Amino acid sequence: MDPDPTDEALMMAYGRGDVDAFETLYARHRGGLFRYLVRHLRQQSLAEECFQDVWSRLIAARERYRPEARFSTWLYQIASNRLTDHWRSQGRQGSFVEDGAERAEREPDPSTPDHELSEFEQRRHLQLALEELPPEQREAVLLRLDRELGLEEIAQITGVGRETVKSRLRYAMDKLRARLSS
Amino acid sequence: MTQTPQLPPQLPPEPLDAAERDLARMLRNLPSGSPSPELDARILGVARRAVHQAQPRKLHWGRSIGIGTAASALLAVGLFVKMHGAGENLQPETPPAAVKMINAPAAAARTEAEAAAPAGQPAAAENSVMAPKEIATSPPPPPVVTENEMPMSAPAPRMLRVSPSPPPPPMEMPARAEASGALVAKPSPNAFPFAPAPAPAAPAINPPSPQAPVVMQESQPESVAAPAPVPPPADGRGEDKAESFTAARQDAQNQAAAATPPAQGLLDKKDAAQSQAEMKSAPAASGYANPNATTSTTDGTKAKNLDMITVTGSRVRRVDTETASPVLRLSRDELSAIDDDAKLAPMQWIERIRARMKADDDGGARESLRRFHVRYPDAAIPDDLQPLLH
Repeated sequence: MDPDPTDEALMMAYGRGDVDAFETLYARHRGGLFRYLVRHLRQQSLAEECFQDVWSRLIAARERYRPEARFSTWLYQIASNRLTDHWRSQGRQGSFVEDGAERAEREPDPSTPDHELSEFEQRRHLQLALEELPPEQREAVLLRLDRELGLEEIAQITGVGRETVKSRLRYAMDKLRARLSS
Repeated sequence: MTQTPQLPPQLPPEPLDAAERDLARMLRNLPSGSPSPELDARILGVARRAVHQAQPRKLHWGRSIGIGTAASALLAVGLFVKMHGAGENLQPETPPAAVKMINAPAAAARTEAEAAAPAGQPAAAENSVMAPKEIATSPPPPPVVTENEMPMSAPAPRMLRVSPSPPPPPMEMPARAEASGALVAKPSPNAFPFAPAPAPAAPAINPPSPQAPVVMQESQPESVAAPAPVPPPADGRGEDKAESFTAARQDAQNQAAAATPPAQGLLDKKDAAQSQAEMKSAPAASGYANPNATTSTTDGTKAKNLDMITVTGSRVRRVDTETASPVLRLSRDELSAIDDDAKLAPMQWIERIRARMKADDDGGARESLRRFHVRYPDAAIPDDLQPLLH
């Protein structure tokens, strides 16, 4: 018995009916996945709904799982598909930018010289800047900054080419820097 | 608990640069919360249920395999029992064109064989039938095939029902033959040489019994084949009974032949010609002589109480046997005229049939329409002619 089994081994074990393996796997990834979804969707309840759907899809596909990629890549691939479904069902992929802009208008203007941004305000501005990003750029930058994934793995998760990921990341980082420095 | 699978190739690490690290640090400080305990419990519950629901499915599958195996074993046992039971009546050699008859004669022959044996040795007499030496020295035996043992692919033979007829011997008979009231027999030449029948066996065959009709079944429907010349018995004691049975069967065949022409009027000429050809060829192939050849051997006692002969069989098409009521009697000229109908185009043929109906020639119209339906089975029969088919 491996004292510290890999994610892939745990998932294979769960595919064979080992519920304990799933519990271990779930404990490892629940926090990261939930954080990723919350930052993507901004709403706790919506994030919880997607979070449950992602794990349900994983459970349903447990017997078909083959360790052809890292388990985390597969898990976030499921999450990415779920998010894509969500945006499609909302039918307003670009409205996220508008929501971010509207929210930014309600915030005090950070460019005023008498307003010293605290660390808290910086985080808040970062959050607003993330919300202003298009979903595909936000997805790429979250996987890069939060999960510290490489371009290749992000490309696998999002289903696009490496150069596309690189381009999205560049645009997203420029917007974030511009928003925080303004 | 787990086995380490073959891990996917690790992607080369791409560390964050300075700007990314700053953003990442700020991002980690953003409040994100965590899934609620209820959500955790819900997901873990789904995971457990999924596994538990899969396990009964596997058990069910295993049970299905067990049931299937048991059913297969039962089928195998049934086939074995069936074949084992059939093996008592089947001869080792089965000429393909042999005439298969329901085995009252075989039963009679067996009766004679058993009666000829000493009282305590009926089994020995029966065993001698299957002895290889006896078979080797005897003529090629026609097969005994009961009605239940007819191969599925073989055409249903025409049956000659003779009632009343010689009763079955009051000794061992196949249970199914007793249940059906018909005895399955064959002319078994090899039964006679070692069957010196004692005199008391004769009354068991000759007296007519109205409760026990004998059904003679033949594979050549149009021909009434006679058995092969019976080899002379070893001591002549069974000759009377053998000849009496042969004579009774010959008498039934003669009466069947006399009753056949009206029924054959319903048949195509093609079938009639074919059956005549088979009638000529079958005896040679099966080892049976034609009726003329057996006449010299059938001059003994004859059963004279035949009062009904029914001719059925696969060579008589269902449309003939099931719908030809009343029996049509058509003269040669009428049949020739109907032959001319078949030379017409389909629509003209239909018109000709209508003309026959209008001329009150229902018999000719019915026969002409029947031939039309045979030639054009997919053609729609007009409504006004439909009654002729029924």
